Amino acid sequence: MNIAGRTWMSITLMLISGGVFINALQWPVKAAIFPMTIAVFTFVLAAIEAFLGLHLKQNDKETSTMDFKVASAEDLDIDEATVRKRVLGIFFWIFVFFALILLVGFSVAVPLFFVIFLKIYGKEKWTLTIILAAVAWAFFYGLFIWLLHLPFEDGWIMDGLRALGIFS
Amino acid sequence: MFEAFIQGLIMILTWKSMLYLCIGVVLGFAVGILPGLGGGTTLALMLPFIYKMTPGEAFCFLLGMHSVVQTAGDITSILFGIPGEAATVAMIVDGYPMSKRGEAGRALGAGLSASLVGVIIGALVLLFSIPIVRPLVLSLGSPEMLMVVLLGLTCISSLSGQGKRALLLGLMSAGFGFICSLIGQDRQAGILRFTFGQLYLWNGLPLVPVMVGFFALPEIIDLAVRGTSIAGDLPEGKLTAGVWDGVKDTFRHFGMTVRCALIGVFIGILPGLGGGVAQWLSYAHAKQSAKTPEEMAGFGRGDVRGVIGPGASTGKEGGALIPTVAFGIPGSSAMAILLGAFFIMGIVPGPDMLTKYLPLTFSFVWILIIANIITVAASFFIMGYMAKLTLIRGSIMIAFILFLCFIGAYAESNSIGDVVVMLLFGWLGYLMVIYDFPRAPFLLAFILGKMVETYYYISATRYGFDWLYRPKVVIIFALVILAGAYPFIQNKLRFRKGGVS
Repeated sequence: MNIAGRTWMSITLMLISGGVFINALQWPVKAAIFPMTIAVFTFVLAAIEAFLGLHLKQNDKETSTMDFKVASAEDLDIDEATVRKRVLGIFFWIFVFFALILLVGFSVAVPLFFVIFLKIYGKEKWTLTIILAAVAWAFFYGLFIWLLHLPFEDGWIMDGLRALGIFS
Repeated sequence: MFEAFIQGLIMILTWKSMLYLCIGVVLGFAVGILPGLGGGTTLALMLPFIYKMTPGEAFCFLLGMHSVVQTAGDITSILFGIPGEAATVAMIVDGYPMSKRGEAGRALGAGLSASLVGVIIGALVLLFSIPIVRPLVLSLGSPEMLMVVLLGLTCISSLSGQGKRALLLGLMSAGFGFICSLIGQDRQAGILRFTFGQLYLWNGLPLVPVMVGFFALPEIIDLAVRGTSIAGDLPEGKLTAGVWDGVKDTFRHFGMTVRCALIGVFIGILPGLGGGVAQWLSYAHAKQSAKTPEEMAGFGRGDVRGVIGPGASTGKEGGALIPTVAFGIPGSSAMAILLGAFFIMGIVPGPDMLTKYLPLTFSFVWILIIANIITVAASFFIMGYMAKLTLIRGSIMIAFILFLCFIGAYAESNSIGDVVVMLLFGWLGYLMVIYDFPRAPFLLAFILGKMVETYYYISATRYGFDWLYRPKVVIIFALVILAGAYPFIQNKLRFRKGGVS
């Protein structure tokens, strides 16, 4: 059976609100009264939406939000596979930036990410890539370290090297 | 009260406040003309920068930035037919044809001056509403405040979507927002709720990373999906003479400009409708002003009134501040983020804003006016250069926005946990966008969750079930029902009309 994404989200929300209610049973009334009310309310609404999603033959295309919309294949006149590839691609790059921050810390990750992202993803020229990486690093260093004195972690690699006694 | 009004002006006339106001205006201007970056997103990205500011400085920065976004967004709508903001789409209908006809200068002159008039009218309505709203807010107790918040949530839920299940999805979003607000140590009994043994979660989910992820990451994904520069290969609009003719046009149609501004104010006050609706309604009103069928036919082909109407809808900025400040109910997503700024500054919107922080509230009136005067004056000189920003390639924009997201989230409390929260909520925000769950009710419920819980707890423990029968509670509850039923009633009426015709 092909279940639409919105229905999956509703089922997930049912499970979450059910979990909230069960947990709240163990708390004193003071702490439980609001979570229980909200959990029941959300569970019922999510159940209605899930029921409608599962039992209506076609997905409800009429309902839409007056919110910002991510461009679709239809809007851009491209195929779904390309859209999916681009979405997965950008998720990959977000993960790369996060992994770099964990491994080498912000001060190295920022210029490094700019260089690899602009070079590989953006296919920019070396000159522009290096200038933009330098601008980003200068902004980061100037504002957050020099001006605001915020402490930034050095990353797992540096921590590991310190633990091995290679760096003090 | 007059004293507080003057204190509000003095508060923003310090060199630091004016500096932050100018920085905010420059940022808001840049964001307004960049279609890839929304005003709400930028507000969220800038929240980490306000920690070391005083409340006056922080609101000069944030409100100054936010209040000029639509004004600047109108520029790209007119020049390229690309809305700088979702709220500036209606400006394209007549503004872009004027540009194509070589009247870009006149269209910009009319749009920007109408926008300034709109903001000033909105600010004046905000100013005069304070003495009226003040006694009303101060007479409300916890049960009434609880119902007012529920009214705001219902309005946002029912109006932030279209279709049969929009209200359902909106209320589900709000419910989930409340659930997320439960995380952390509870205020009443000190119980740890859903902290999963993590010390990091004791204080609840951090506001800034949640908002940054929720709003900025879906926009980054959108930029990546589009895979182009912001303005694509469109030619830059001609900025020829005629700017002053446009300004004169605004004053030639001054009555209509004022009416469109008042429409904007009214839409701004209603939670959930947003700037897009304000612009379209103002445009519709401008179109109604046509006296003959020939005049009517001119709309959509470059009638200057079709630019003035949407331009004047900026009155919504002043209107949206009224419920935000007085009741803690934001009129839009951007106002919800601004509400977050209140909490970061240690200020609880509501009665305090009309007593203890009255000069700060009055300073908002001044900020709206001064920020927009600066913007419109500067626009006439630098609009050509700023418009070139729309030619920045998507990949460069993505790199910078992503950098701001990570750094903004981390700077909240210097914890990698904040970055993880930002990523998780970015993913959630993306899912909500693609599956048509409105984000505004979630955000509002998440921000107000703790406050609502306190109101609910006080009402239940102090009055038992009696609070449900208090006259004001009953009246507001009737409004809640009406707000929930409104889209259905409207649909029925529309259907009946359609049937008759």
